[in-house]
Amino acid sequence: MNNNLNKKEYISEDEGAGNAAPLIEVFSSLFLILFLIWFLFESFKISVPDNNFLTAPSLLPIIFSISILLMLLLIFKKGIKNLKLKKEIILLKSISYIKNLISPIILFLYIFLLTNITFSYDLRIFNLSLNVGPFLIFTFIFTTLLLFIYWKTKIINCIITSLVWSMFLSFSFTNFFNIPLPGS
Amino acid sequence: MIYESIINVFQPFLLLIIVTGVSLGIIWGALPGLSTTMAMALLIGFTSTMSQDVAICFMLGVYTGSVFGGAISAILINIPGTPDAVPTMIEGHALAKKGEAGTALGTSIFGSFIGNWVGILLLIFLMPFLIAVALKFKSWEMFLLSIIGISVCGTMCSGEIPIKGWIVGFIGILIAMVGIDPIYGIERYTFDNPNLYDGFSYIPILIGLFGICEIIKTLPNENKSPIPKSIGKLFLPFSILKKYVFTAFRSGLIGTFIGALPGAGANVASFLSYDIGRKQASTEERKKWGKGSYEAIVCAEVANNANIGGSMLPTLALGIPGNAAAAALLAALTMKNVVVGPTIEIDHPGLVYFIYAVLLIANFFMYAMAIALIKPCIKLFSLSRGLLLPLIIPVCILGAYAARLNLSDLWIMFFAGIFGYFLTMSKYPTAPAVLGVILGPMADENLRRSLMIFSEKNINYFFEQYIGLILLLIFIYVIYDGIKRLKMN
Repeated sequence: MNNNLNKKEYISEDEGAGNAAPLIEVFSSLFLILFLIWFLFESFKISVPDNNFLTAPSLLPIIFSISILLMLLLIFKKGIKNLKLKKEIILLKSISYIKNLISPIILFLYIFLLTNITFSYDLRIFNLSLNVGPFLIFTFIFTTLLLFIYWKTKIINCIITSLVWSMFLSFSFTNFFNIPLPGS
Repeated sequence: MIYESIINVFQPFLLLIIVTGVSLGIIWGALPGLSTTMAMALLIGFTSTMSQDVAICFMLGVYTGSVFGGAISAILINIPGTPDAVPTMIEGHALAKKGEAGTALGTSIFGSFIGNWVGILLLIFLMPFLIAVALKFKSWEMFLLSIIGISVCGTMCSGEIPIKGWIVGFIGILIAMVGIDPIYGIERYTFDNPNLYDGFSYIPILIGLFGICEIIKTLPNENKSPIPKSIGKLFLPFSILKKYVFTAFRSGLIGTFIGALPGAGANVASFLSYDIGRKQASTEERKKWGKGSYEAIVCAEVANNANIGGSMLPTLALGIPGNAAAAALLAALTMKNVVVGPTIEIDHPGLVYFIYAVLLIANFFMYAMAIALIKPCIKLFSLSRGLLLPLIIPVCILGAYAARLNLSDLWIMFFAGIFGYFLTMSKYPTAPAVLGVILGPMADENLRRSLMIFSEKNINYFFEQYIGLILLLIFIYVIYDGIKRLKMN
């Protein structure tokens, strides 16, 4: 670590930023290029009031889209130049796709249910209320699932931890922070 | 007004909020993998129902505490709690292995305390000058300032390949263009969806980029940390620090200056100060570098804490966040209807003095709470990331939702997280995107206004805008320097 530190020519705030594998550079720049072409197309569709392009709402988006496109083409070109197919195939095979995709998929389902199901029931405990709604139910279910997958402990520990945490968040947000919960 | 603002901070409730914020920040910063920015981004939601004063006390407390917190795990378990604690980890853990963990931690606490002082004092001293200059800025200068901010941030965040930082920063600008155009009231990229008329709120974007993205990235990689049995006696080495007064002062200056640059935060400050410190150290001291040097800990810790004061300088005076954590603070202030920028003293009289006072008090609490919380923090290191990160997800959800009580913000947070993950995997920095989203509307409105003015005048008018010309030269230099780095790479 110390030797690497001494070798560093430029210190970067984001330690992960830098050169990626050529295949990743090609794929990511291609994806962004396609997105920007679509964005440019949409920008040209925006009307130009008074036919004055200098004050047009699409002026800045067009200037910056073109600048980004040019920079992405540089990265794309460099990626193509350094591409070694055999090496890249080994890299692609080494990635554990399922392991990396589990949490985004669970998160997607969690948000999908939170934003599409609405119900609310107030459970009174002394003078305080516990809101039993989508947030409490789905937080309990999905946190238990994530804990079971990543904490690697007995299911009962996951259930208890998840239940206590979901109830604590629901209770404190409605009673102390006075913030309504999503879906309620 | 100044006196009233300062006295206001001494209300018992506000002091309690600062202690809570500092303690939370220290614990958060000490937990490996949880960064200062992540803490700040997640807690914005919690401040939505707080009053302006309470929200400022809470956020600044968390900011002050979390920057120091990273040093605890860095020294004790050889894992930096925050990325800026890497130099502290190299030196501090080497000292811990020699049985000097207590002294290393003491040096780190005292270094952080001194660093905060230097940063805050320089902030107080430089703020009036920066505001005086900024008040002369017109539309053209404000446009140049915003694109310089984004470009410098891009350069600082991506080191050897600045174009990656610029790409992300400019994409941030494009994201900010969604919504109703402020000059003509024309819809831009809304696709007739009413949820997009107001554009994207940058709170869910911040939480997505710094919270959800980190969780998605870190969850599959479980690492167990070895827990130290004891740290020995916590020794606060005044004698060591007396020896390194000049080093501390130099590191404080570096930290504050770096903090004032958009995008450059505690990471750059601590690494740069560590690097300069090594070059400036005596031959005897240099031999200890990398094997456990107290001077090196002073360099890193003073610089990363001085960075807090430095980052507040452009945030308050220009409305340009000094780093991603300051961007989160800016988001919290915006939610409280605080408009930062050159007119801050006119729009919100006394607010800057209140902020100075909160920073100073938070620094004292940081010193006390750091000593009190080190031992409980050791117990927290035994908690697995597989336990902690799933528990943070509902906090992200609540934080994103609480800002506007809008369910579509949950999707914005999710997609910002996925986009952040895509950027991280492709080795692009994420922080410039936030700066782009924040400064995009400012750049857009001011460019069009200035072009309208220029089109009505002759060419001489353009060359008579002296501040604008200086800023234009700075922008050209930033781009030239970036291209030079790219060629070297």
